[in-house]
Amino acid sequence: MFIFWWSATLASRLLTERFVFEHLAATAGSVESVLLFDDVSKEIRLGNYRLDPAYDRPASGHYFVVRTDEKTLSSRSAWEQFFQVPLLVPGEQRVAHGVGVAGEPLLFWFGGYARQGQTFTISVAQDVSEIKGKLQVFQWFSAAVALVLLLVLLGVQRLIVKRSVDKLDTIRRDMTRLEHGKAVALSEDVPTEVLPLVREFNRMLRRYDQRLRQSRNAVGNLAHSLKGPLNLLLRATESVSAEKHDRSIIGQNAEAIRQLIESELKRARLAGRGTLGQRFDLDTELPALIGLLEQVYSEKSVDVRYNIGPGVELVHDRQDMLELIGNLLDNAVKWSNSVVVISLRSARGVLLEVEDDGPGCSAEELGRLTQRGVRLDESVAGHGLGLSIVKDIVDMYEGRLELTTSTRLGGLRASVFLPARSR
Amino acid sequence: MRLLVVEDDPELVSYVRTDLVRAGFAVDIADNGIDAEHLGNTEPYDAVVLDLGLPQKSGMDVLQAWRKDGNRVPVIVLTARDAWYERVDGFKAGADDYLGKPFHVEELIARIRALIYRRHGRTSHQIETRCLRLDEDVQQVEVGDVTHQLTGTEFRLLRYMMLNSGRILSKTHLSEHVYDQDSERDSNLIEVYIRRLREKIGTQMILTKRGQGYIFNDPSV
Repeated sequence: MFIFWWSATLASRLLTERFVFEHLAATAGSVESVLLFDDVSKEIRLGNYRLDPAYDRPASGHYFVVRTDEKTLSSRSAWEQFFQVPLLVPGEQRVAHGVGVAGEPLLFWFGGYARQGQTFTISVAQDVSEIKGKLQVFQWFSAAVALVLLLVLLGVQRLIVKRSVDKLDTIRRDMTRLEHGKAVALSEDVPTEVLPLVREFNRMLRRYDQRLRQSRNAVGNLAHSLKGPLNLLLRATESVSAEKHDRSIIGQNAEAIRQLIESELKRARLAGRGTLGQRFDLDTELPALIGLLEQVYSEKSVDVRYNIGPGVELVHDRQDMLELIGNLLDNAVKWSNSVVVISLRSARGVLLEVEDDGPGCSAEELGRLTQRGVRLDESVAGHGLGLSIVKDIVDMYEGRLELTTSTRLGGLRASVFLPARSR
Repeated sequence: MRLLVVEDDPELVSYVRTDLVRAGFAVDIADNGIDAEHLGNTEPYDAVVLDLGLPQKSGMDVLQAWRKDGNRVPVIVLTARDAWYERVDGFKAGADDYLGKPFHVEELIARIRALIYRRHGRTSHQIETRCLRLDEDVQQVEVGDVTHQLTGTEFRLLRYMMLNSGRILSKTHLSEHVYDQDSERDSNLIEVYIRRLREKIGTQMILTKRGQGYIFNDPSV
């Protein structure tokens, strides 16, 4: 825009000057035509000329000077030799900028002539202060127009950009909703440029969800089909006909297979991080889970208290979270005397703590429990069982599991940290 | 005690039924959700063992339908997938206990007993009054120092009456809780069994309310 303004200014100035110079040249022509030459004396003088009367008014701003080797003639408006006129060879033309006596800007046009053996130079000058003033007004005006144009352009551009970004914004909002489990796909009302991307993304989401469901179903079916025969096998060991020794071998192995299937199936059922479109509703699921435990352990009458901190949001798979919290709580209730406390805090993720007032574990046992690679259910009888699946879930969510002694209740404290979904 | 077992695996059903009957329960079977819902709403069961994976109507739906109709029968949910989320879903639908497959029948029997006792406001696993102690495992009753063997029907009848002591129980009511739906339900048979029980535990324990039924009462309490 500045270039536009600058070139407009320059062009207008050059155009004006050119126009003035042409006018000066024409005037010079007129002056030349009224020059009279005395053949004898070689004198030169002005005839009756019909030029602009301004040339007769002193200091009018319109001047001409004719100069020969010996003599200088000037218009009445110009006093003697008030500007220098170079002698030019005939045919030569020159222009110049100058300043008048009052400091007004002048444009000069010089031209060399030859007539009847005489060489002379005609110089015409014009005060251009008025034109310059007008030019300046024009320049200011064009600057203002350029500025307004610039602002309008910027505004329009901003609007265009904002409109297209606004459409992208729906994608961003959808992503957030997706992350918080409030949507299952991205809206396809987006600019056509990104539509293929969004479609592909939705397709992958669907396929991922489908795969997860398929594998879960497969796992469930496997559980069904394996457990039936196994059940009957176990049942057979209870029958009286078999030898006692055989029965115990069959029984032990069937039980071992059962436990293996159990734990592997549980692991396979876990969805893990990255399942989109799912949100664990703590406010309804946690009371239900606690109610369930209080019902199952109704004879113990354990008081399970829960405390959900502000901003706690578990954007994870429901089945995984129920498995995780269910096992932790079950363990706690099983071993507690009367109180279990579960608390959830948000801290760049969620920190979940389950404490009980049971016997707890010795420092040595705790150390063994948290060792890497140790199967928890092998390490400590009773306390383990659920803890091994808890550890699997925590690992899958790239979290941390810590087992310590509860300072306020005296029993075991299981702390689980689940990091927020990486962005 | 009369049970409804809802399970579609015939082999599992056959041995579970045998063991439950041996443990002194009258057992009805339903192998699909529709029948289960109907039976549960029409017969006065003392407890239901409900599998979740059923043909025609899922166990969860059946349970929800019962609860919606105000049917509060105690329900043990039986599932091959004993994942926590299924237990929570069962809890939300109104289940009373949960048992993961595979299970030992002893475990199931213990759960059923516990559930029924809980429903009758008992915490003890023993059914006893001041003078009587019922041994459920061997189905005999101790009256002071004397032990009497009980037949299956006698045992079921006495247990039901002891659990509902102080309540007037009509002959029809008693026969509904002592026999399964396939048995010949002659309420006069109840009279016969009441007489036999009185011979074993004494006449003053079971009182006759003319035109209404019987009432179990331990006079020494």
